[in-house]
Amino acid sequence: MRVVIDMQGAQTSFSRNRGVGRYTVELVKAMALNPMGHEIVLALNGAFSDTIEAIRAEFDNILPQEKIKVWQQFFDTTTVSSESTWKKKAGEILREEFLNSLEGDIIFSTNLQEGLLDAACTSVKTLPTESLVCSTLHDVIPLIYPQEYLCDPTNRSWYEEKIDFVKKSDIIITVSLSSRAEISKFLGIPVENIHVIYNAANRDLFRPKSIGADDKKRLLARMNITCPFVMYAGGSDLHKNLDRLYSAFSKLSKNILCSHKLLMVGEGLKRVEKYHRNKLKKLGIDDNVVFTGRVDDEELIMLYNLCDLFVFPSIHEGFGLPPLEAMACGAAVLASNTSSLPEVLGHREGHRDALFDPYDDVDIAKKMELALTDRKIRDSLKERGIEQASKFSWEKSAGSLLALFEEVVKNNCARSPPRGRRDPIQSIISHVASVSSSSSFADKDSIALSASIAETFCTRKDRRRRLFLDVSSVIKQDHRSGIQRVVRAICNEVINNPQKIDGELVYTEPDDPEFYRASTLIDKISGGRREWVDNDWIEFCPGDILLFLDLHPSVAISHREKTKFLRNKGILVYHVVYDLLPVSKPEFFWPELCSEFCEWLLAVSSSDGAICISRAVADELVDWLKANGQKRLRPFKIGWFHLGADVENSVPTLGLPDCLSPVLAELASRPSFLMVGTLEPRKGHVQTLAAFEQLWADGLDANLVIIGRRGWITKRMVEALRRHPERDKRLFWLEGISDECLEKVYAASTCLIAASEGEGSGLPLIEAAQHRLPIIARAIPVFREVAGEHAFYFNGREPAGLARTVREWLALYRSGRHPMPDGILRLTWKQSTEQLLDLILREQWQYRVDD
Amino acid sequence: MGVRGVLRRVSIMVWGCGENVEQDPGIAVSWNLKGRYNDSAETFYANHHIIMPKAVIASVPLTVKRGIKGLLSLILACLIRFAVDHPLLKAWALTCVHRYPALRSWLYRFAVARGIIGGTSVQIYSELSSLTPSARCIYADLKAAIERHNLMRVNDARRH
Repeated sequence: MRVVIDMQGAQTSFSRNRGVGRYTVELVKAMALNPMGHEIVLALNGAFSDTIEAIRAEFDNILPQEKIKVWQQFFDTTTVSSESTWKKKAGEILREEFLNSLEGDIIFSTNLQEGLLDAACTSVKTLPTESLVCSTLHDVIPLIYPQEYLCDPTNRSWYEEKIDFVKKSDIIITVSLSSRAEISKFLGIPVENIHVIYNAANRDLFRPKSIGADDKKRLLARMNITCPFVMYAGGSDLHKNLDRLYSAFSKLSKNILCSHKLLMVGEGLKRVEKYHRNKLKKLGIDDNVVFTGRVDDEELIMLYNLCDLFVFPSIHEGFGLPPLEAMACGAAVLASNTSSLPEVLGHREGHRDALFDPYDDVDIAKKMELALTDRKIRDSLKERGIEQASKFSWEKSAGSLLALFEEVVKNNCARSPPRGRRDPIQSIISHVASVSSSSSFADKDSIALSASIAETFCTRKDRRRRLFLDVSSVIKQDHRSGIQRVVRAICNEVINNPQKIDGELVYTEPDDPEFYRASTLIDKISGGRREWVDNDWIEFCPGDILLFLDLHPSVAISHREKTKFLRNKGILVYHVVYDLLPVSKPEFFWPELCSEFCEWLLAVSSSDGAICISRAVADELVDWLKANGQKRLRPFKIGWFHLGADVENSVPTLGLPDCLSPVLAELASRPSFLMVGTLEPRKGHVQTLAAFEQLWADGLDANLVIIGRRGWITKRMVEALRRHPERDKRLFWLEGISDECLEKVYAASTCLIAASEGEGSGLPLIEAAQHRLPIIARAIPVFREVAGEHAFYFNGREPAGLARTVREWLALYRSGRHPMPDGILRLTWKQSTEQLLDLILREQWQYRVDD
Repeated sequence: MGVRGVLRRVSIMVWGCGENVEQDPGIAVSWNLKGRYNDSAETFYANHHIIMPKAVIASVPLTVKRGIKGLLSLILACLIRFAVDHPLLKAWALTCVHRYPALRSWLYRFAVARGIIGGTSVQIYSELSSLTPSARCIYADLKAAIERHNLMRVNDARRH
């Protein structure tokens, strides 16, 4: 059996912070934790984009993320909005068709009374459905107190429509026997057709706790309380009967009034505090009452644990969650003897001391006085409260609900027609057309609806999961840098060896939220062998993966909203992190780049995870996130892989300069030390050149070959190289050469000097190992990670130190005792890409960072 | 004369005689306009009890009337925004409107519809150029289906 659950009750601003929101999350979580062999699928409304990540986080490790489906609604269906009639209808059709497309045996709505003040859409059987529809009706309080809730015609018609939807449901559930009786009475539904699934308090959270003295002091100081207190938690509606609570509190004996405060907990109460203060002033208890406003769960539990007495004078409740939560925390609880409250407090078991007549403030005061002065009674209330609260549990409720579903589905099986798949898009179009009328229909409405349909249903012809590799930088200009070589090599493997997943190369612009197929690069890599069935505009479907392989900070920064949208929709978004040098060694970069890099890292941290090119970078990223990252609801995944070294498989650049032959001849004539990398301050060129000047001055006959483009902050270095007396004699600078040329220089050299003070991976070390070229390297973590014992290390920034190291190495070299790079792990790009794909596809992450 | 009386007076002054104003039974301070008078734009000059002559109002161009309405809406929106930004003022305003459910509800709707409070900030698509190719195909199909449907409706109406 597949149960599709509409989670809007946990999404709307009206419900998510109230009992309905708690009911939705807790009940569904309990169902997902023990699904009794059934499949649970959650359906979320994409219009509430800020709530989706929180819900995904609630169900992380409970339900696979692919079981959380999102429909998109790019138009406002709020009932109170004057233009919403047609849109509301379209929204209902879109939602129902989406829920039908999930092919559940049951479609369960945890609250149909949504959409008055925000863009929620709820309806039942507006379209034909093969699923059974189950709806929860928490209470009919608006029908019992119409003057409070339904005086406004808009409210009334909205509520009546929702009640009609409840009546059309195949299964109606409610939260208490009392509520069931009222629903039956007011809606004329036979009692046996309404099923009671009780609310509960989460036992892991709401339980007696010993509160530390410091925590207690801090909390009470924040609430401005210095003495014992009586507590109320809940709303401020008229039927909450707060006037009588105030009146009863004012009637307590002077001793109690002097020693106790009345603590009013709730966001709604704070909003109307002034209004209530006037009443309190008249009663002379203004100084005894504190309004806390909204408190989080942790604070609420502490308050329940700390209060002397919890009083709930409500005249009417569907269930009454606050007294149950208070009892679960071991508070002494008094509540009204009306509606569902006797059921919650356990009147059948003779729990009479805990109940009072809510219409009689003298009775309320009497019970409060007794509970506050008689310790025995208070202890007995606490004891019985814990026992009574233990009778309600979300596990039990979820089990009862699933059992009910099983039974109804079983009984319905015989008459259920076989499922016939239809095209949901065409179905929506035809239904919307039939409800539209020319007067209420605007072109922008159909644009918004079309966008919603296209983003809700995967319109791609081939719906298999895809990996999209972002190549926004390399497609514009190939700078022949290390990063771009990595990008080319991995793209080559993914495109030409698609064993694990279909790969696509995509690009975008900083000012354009959309992604496009990088057809020219794909043609170049695949040799034009790839055939395309889709168009160039990328349409992401849930389950796809977007990997920002290229380093293009402005794209990642400007696409943060797009990333959020994609993640909400169920697309996994990852970034490759090459290094953190602009933040770890800012002295080597200009300030603007450092601040942009910081922004980029924040953008990276708002995605699903990062894949680093070495363990050293991953460790640095973890540290950076712990110090600077934003608060996250789901852990940030971090893994690392190692780069390949087979240049021939990295789509190498070709071409040999005319001057190469004499240079190669010079390199062969004496020991040649090679440096590979862009000319930047951190790469150690200045120190190395100065070291060689000393060596040359001391009579050592050796070449220094520098390969790399001119980078930044290198004006003086470039000048020094150009005007150097040893230039083209024993000092060679080859700028911007091709990969083909680099291969030849590697082959002709004696030793690689890796003098960089900071690197992401140390690709030249691996390439040197590929050519069996010995290595002198600075002792930084990433070089140690890559080369281990197979390189000769040096420390310090002094040229003399490096010159000494070169001499020592030459001595070893001449005696054949220098470390050889043969033991360095050399991956091919194929193996490197496999490591990367294993991380992403098999979720083999090394770190998960919470905050 | 209490608030109730003042409101009734004002409503009669603005909307004319009592026949077009229905008092909700059981609610002291809420009146609903009946029938077509429920549309605020027409209501103003639809009744012979109005002090301002119908002809004068009718002579005011529609754009001017819309401008005035827009200006009043803007002022009200600014006032609500100001009140929302100032907790003490907000609390006082809420205390005042709490007593008048219909007024509270109308103001709430007004504020939500203009995005001043609550509600959801729904991402709205209104430009054809922002649609993906698939969405454009859906848009074309939708337009065609709606046109077909309207045509059928017109034909049905003619037949009848």
